[in-house]
Amino acid sequence: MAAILFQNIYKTFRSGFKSYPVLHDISFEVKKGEIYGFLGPNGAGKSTSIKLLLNFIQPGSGRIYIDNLLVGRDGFQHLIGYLPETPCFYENLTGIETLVFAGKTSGMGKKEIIPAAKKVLHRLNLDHAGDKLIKAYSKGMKQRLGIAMALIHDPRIFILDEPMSGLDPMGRKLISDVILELKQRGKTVFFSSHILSDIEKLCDRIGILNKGKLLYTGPTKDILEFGPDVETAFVRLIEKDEGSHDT
Amino acid sequence: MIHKIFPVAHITFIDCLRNKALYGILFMGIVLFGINIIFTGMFSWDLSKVAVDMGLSTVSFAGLILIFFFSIQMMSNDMDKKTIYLILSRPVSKSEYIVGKFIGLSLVILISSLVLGVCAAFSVWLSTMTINLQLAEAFSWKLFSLSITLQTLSLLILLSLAFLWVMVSSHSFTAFLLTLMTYFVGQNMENVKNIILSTKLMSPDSISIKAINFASWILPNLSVFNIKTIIAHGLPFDASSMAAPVVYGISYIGICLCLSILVFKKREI
Repeated sequence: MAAILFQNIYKTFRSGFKSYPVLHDISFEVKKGEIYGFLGPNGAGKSTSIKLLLNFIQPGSGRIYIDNLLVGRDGFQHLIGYLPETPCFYENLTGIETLVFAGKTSGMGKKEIIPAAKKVLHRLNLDHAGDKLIKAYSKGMKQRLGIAMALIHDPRIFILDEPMSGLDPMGRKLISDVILELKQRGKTVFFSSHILSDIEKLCDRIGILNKGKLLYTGPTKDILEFGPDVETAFVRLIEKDEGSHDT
Repeated sequence: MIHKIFPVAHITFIDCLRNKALYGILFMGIVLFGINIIFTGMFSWDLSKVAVDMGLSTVSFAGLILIFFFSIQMMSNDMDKKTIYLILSRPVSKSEYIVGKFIGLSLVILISSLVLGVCAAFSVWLSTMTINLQLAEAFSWKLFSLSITLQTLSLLILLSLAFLWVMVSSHSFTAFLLTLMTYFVGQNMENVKNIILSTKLMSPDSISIKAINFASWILPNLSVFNIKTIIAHGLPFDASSMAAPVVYGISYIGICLCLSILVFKKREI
């Protein structure tokens, strides 16, 4: 059974009388326990796909399943931990208060929230910042707090939109380690990234999106038939697709 | 449902309480009370009316600023900055979000009205002490408190309307303008109706008057919650006559929140 399943997804945005197709017949699956990387140039449709996955927007046609639950009909949010591309918080709350909110709304018991919050803050090197107001946090600290919010209720599936963005090399290593730990614990991780070296290092399988079309989905090692490394293969695939559009 | 609404209300309330802008508004209110005392002393007649009217108006004014420059901004920020993603990606429904937010912001308005109401009463009392102000014979502190309560209810109606406009419009400024427009129409519709009736150009049974009457309750009729003049002049007033407006106000809030939820459920975020 797939942890995440996209079935023939189409999505069009409308502006006035004009309509702009952004996703065209997207189908792929993310297997349980794997790390799946979602790649594509800017404007490819990655964030739109993630918004559809979270039911923030609805598809024109097609279906999305999370752990066999139909997105848009069934409640699935208790199964997932989500990190937005640029996490924004209530800046007058402290890190701990934010995590307590995350725990409470995810159905955690009162007694387990604080120890779990302290544990994730420690794991993300934010122990010292738990009682500080978020407005005093740096960009990297906010990114790590966003990941802490995704981790606190120990969900089965993680959806991370650009988890490495805004992080220094140490921060990136920390997040890479956290993602690998999640895999070891049998969790599923679906994440988008522009940083191809991270994708190559972490992902079991990848999907490449360009101009709303899925160009490739499969094991990370298999994409190397298009080039000597993931970056070259990615560029060649995109260029080939752009060339086919031009002709 | 309650265990999801409460955390949303709690973080909204705490986030507001720690916002420096809130203290700016409360400070401005307190300064206005000081001005009230000085201003009242400059009048030679109707001193009690001026003191009570200004005190009550300051409470209302601070509440309006809270709604127009604070609550609308907070709601719009959730949408524009996508703070809402961190809430709705959890098992919190859009209806729980709306109700939680409304409760959190309502608590801020209630506390602000309470603090400024006490300050208003203090400024009136201080005026009686410092400038020998004689309050109207029928003036009572109970009615003074009732007036503040009704003003607060009208602020909550306006807040629920602001929620609706934030959900309907895609820009905070549009929501601001729509709320402002509704406020002015809601405050003055009753006056317009009375002016038309006083000219006797139309019969009270005419369709136009009935339409204006109907519109004044739909828009909503905020003037029914304004008993400042009655309190300030010490006119006879039956407090039980406010039961129907209170029911109207609470129902209006409920309808606005239901509409906000309906619109929000259709809206892509």
